[in-house]
Amino acid sequence: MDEFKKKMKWRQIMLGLASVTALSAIFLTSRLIESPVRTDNIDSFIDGFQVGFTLMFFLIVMFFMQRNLAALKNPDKMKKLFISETDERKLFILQKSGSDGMNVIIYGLSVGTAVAGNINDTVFFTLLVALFFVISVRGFLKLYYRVKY
Amino acid sequence: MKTKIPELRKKNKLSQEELAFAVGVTRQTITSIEVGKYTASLVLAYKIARHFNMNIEEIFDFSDVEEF
Repeated sequence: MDEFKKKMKWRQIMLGLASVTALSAIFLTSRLIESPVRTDNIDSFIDGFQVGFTLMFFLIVMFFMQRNLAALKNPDKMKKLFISETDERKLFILQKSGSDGMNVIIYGLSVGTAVAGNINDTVFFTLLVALFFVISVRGFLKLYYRVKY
Repeated sequence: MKTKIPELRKKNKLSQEELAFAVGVTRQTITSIEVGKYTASLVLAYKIARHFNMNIEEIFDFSDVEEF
């Protein structure tokens, strides 16, 4: 449990850094949106997405920070958090859904790429790059875990 | 896999939540093991057996494990 406590403290520091980064990003993005140079050229949807995404990231970080802080103060909550993070069935589900999900993504991207080839070149090449990326990530992870175990 | 966990819990007046907390898993994991949807790892089986002061084979029924 001491090891987990150390991990939690380290995690709090990282979350703190992430929240500062997110706040800076929100500030910078909103400043850019206000800038007259960009408002003419940038689609407002993209700007809104960037701010919304960073704000959501910031709120998620805040949620985890608050949860970790409560656990650091209360040993019972700490054990519950430890259990929920190390529960073997949860980890098994995570592994299973990760590998099955990857298969579905590869299948979907393959079909999408083939269909996009008849419609739009840009979409076709974007999907093709995404497909190669996912396949290489899967290959790399397989190789990594074969060496590790 | 069939287990004697429900009977042992009743005998020891333990809830699923209490057993789960004692062996370091979630209540849902104990539920899944009891209904046979999930097979406990060797470490978890050992922890459960130790909690009831029994051997693993006395709690878990290995008779339906397939052999080739």
